[in-house]
Amino acid sequence: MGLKKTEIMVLAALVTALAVWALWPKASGSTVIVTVDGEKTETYLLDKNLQMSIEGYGGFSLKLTVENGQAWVEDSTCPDLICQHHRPISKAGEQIVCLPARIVITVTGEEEAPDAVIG
Amino acid sequence: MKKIISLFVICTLLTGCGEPLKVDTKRSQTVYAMDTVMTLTVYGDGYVADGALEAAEAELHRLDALLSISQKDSEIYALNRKGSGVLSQEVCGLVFRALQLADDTKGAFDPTVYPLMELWGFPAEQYHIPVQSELEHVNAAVGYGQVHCQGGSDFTLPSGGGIDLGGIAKGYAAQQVIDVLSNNAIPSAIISLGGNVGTLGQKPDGSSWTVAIENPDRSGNYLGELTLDGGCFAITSGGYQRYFEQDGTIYHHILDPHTGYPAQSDLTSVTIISQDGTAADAYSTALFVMGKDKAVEFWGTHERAFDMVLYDGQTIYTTCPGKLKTELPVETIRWG
Repeated sequence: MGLKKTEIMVLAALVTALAVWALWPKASGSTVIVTVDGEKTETYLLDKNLQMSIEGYGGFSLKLTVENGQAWVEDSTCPDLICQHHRPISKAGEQIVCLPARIVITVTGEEEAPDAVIG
Repeated sequence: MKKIISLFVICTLLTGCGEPLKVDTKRSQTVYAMDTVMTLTVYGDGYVADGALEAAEAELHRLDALLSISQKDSEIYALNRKGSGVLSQEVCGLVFRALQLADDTKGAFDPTVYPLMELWGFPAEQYHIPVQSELEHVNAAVGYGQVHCQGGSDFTLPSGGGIDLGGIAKGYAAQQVIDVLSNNAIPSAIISLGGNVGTLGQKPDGSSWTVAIENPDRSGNYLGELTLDGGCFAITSGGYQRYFEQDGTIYHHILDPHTGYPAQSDLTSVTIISQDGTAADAYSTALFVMGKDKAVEFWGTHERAFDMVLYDGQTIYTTCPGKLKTELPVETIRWG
């Protein structure tokens, strides 16, 4: 027994909707992920300039700057300032860590990042 | 009509509107322990992964408390304060292992170097360049041969001496965590404990793990990228990791236990790859202190028990060129 005309139209509409959803371009490009004490708190696009203050563990905070496709720590209240002296990051997998504040800033992106970095 | 709509709903669910049903779910967890940040990444069934990560984190905090040089509850803290003490089986085993590795490396790695580290101000980051008389006084208490043990667990240190297991603690912890994950039914994982990397199994797609080595010049370019199988540990040591500068001179944290000064090494980076995480940790420090020629000799007398990537600022010297992808000049170190 064949499908009725209305059933064919409904099926076509549903299949079209599914195809549009599957093929619609998803958000892409590099992002900057911020975690505080292991919890993900913010995600920013690397191609959108911004400056953001991030409160961390132990009362320490830092100012994150994203500009021209790079991210760095502009300013920090932590005692060792290792995060502030870190060079800007832009490649997938690169990280800046502020240990006293337990803040980790990671660049993720479409390019293949190594599974781990040592050194 | 109802059948078509039902079929559509089922298809939509299976294509992933919402979390797909995957056996190889990837979960990552950040842990702060041993004065560093640690990342544990596991692949497996979602519920199993959560339980395994919880067990792994608990193990890290347990080891941190057990081996810490600064936490007042730790056996090592008590031993250093009193100059003697009876250690529990696990700590005892680690102290013996550290002393054996010190002997193995002829003192280039030495767990009794802590009083020197304190003199230079590295632990508290209150840096100080000691005068010769200070150095000689403190150095007299340094030397693994001065640690005595009675009855297999009762240790005595020389006056002014101290033991620090920091040189092997993360390597040992990496081994323990990999065991915990494996015992909790995780087939595939990679962990980084402050840069001490350990691997378990292959990646879910069957490929090997890629581990990049930082360039000591901190330019953002890597020295190279290693390809590792499961069951490997990879650790890098280099003076660029911790140092202070005074009057134009750089003083780094890898002290030569024989001289008391920062090691005058011709190497800027030493990476050890081994199936023994504890040894890899000790060897990365020891071979940096030894310098290139002695490091190569050491590798040759150890029956190829580990692989290494040495860098002198211009050229990479490696025993495993097949595992390393790099754009820098490479010389292969061969057996025999």
